[in-house]
Amino acid sequence: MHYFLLSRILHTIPVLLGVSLLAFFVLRLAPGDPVLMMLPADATQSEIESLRETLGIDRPIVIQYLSWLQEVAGGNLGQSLFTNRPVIDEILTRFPNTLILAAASLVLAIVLGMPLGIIAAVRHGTSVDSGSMVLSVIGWSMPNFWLGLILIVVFSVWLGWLPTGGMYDMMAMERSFWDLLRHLILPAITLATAHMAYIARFTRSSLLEVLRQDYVRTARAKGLSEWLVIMRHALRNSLIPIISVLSVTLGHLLSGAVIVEAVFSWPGLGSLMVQSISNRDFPMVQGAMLFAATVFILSNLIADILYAFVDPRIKYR
Amino acid sequence: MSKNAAKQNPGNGIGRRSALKGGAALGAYAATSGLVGFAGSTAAQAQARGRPIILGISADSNGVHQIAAAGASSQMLPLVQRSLLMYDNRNATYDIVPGIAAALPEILDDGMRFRFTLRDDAYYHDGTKITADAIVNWIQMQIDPDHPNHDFIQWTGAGRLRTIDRAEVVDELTFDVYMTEFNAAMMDWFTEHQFEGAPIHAIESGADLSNEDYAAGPYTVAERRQGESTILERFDQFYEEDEGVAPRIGIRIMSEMNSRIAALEAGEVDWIDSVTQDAADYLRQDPNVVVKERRTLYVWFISLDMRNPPFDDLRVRQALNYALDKDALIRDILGGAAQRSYSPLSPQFGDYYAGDEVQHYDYDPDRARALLAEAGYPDGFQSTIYTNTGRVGQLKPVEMSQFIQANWRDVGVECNIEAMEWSAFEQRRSAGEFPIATRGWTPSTGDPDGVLFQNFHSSMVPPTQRNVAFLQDPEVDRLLELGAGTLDPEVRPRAFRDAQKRIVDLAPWVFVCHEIAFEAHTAALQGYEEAHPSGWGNGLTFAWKE
Repeated sequence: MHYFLLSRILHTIPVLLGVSLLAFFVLRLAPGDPVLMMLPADATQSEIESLRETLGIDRPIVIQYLSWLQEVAGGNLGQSLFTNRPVIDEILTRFPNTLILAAASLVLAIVLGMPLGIIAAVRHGTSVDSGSMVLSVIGWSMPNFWLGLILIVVFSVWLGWLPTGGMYDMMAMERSFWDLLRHLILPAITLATAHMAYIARFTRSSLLEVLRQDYVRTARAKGLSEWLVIMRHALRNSLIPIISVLSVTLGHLLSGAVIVEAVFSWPGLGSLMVQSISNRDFPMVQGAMLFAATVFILSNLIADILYAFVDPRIKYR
Repeated sequence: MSKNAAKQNPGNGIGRRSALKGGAALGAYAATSGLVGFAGSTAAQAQARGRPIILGISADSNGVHQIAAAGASSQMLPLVQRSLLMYDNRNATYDIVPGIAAALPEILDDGMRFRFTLRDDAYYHDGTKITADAIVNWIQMQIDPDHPNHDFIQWTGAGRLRTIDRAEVVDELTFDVYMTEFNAAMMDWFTEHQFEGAPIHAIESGADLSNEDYAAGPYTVAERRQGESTILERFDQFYEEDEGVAPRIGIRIMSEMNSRIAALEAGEVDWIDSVTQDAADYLRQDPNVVVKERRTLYVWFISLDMRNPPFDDLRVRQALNYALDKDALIRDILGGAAQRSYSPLSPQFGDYYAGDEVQHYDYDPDRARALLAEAGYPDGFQSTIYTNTGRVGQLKPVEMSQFIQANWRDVGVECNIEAMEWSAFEQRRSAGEFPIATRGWTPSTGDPDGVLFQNFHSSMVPPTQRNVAFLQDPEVDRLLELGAGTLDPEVRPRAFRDAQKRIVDLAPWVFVCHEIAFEAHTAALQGYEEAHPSGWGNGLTFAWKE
């Protein structure tokens, strides 16, 4: 296991290097100039050149890359061209917000999606199965931009039960957990809906496949109750592919839910990334991409480790 | 002083236009400014009124001080900053009035020296009194590469300061700004943040001016979460009696317009910016919401690269102007939220505007076809319209380009449309790569120079500048230089109007429209009577709610 972990961690180095190359060069090779985004339309050429020099983006691109890489190796992701703040500070300010939203959405998606999939599989071929799959198709197809706005109109504008956006009541004297919870409900539901549908469908198909296995038939033949057959024999085995789906889902959620964050003014990584790309804030985009890649790799690593716990046949060496 | 009182006493400030009308050239300008520009010197410290107000705005500022964070701009800054001079927030005009200066400057030595006297009761937000040495240090820091704190500045704002030679302290509250050459636009530039200054001790101690508040405006930053929210508190030492009325102002960053509208309707925010025409129509149905309209300095145009065929032929450029039904475009695509453009300047430029004098390219496809035939293109030609996929301040570039494409097709001009993301588009447009390009343009200040000189003077062609139509006409140059080089109240407007006539005759652009922008607030918000045409919500310093 230790060897496996070490080898996986070492494998991340070339992956991160690849990501750094992509993040650095793709953005720079794409047309667009951060300086033109910063300065007003009537800025003079001397202002433009002066700012390019100040920002160090007038140097040869390879030199820029190597010098950035050297800084990254030393733990410094650089400074935002726009806010002047260290990139890592910006990311670490936003990441907890994304983490909260992602965790709430994932929990909601699992808590609702897996039972829905189990029920559909157990009642395979019945109207319950069809009904739950229709629900999941609707959930999967519904644009979360639209769903978010509908939820805001109904629950915030019409009923006035929940806030339209943000993470906290900004004028409150102090930030409380309950206030956060009130602000979290709508974006978490919006974000969870599609993932819930996906998990439900995946759970159903995975469980259906396991339910057709010989050992399940044997378990039934032994006279075990259907509940025990499903919970003890079928579900555990069907979880293995679901874990990989969850790890990918978690990776997606943690790297920022761009649209939901925009609709609900949720100050997470997604909105930071989009704004930075649009501004051509090179250090910020590079840092955020490296960070997102690391999160992805870690979530996959966790999924691999979980396999071993869920499936005793899997041993890592 | 009440708003009405201010209106009755224009002498409190001096409008650029009223100044120009007020006497003979420079001497009259200086005399007028010297006599009537005083803003008083009694610290007022009025009582805060009502409850906190919350603004829902589309984009955050990159920093508290623009000078230390390039690209910093948002509705927050007019609330927090205060420069030497300012545009008239009280009456929502582009007239120039004193800010932290006690009066408009004396203009000496034929415009080569500006003498400022500061208010005796103005303070930075850390409590430091604003003195001449702080402002002089701030200016020197920007223009002098050898200044020990020159690196402090991310963007030097060289365009605004390029004609400044040096600044010198005269006494505690008086200083002179010496020019390298006469610059008639300088009065407008003095409204910019480059002239707000900051405490010298903060600069010398290396304070983080991107994020720490040493500004001089009516509100101070109490809490700031970049990209999320900012809370401003009334600055008790602010000098103006009736500004900074609400005790606190919350700023919530809401990039999505529908979310801003929902928050306004739910009563979570009191004011929102960047409202589209459709949304404005929708919001007008709500009795609890007030929609405000702003007629701006903005111009949306199509530039035609005059270097190469077919746009090197005047008849082709004029034909494309005649072939576009601007009124229909404004009605059908923009829902009426624009004024038709007859010249590069918007009617908001007042005396400088020549829309009534220039030739009008009214929609006339027959004339367009005839002109194309005369130019040797009886069957039209093919080209490409380059545009962007959209950005705040660019209206609806793709839909507008499609409309233009359809209009031009009627006269035989077949165009493809290439729409690209803003940053990529602007980089290539600025380099002069596009034969036909659309763009919206707002000048940084209320001076016409910011539109005309930049876009039409022959020295301003790419790659160094933004004259992407490559107009190089000695007569236009002469008129623009004449306007830029004088404060004569007769000569300057006349020169700029004549320049517009010549430019419109030469048709380097297809002149399309000037935006009418919208913002909205709850009916409970009071004291905010007129939206400033700049769109920066400047008048919100007077707003409050019970």
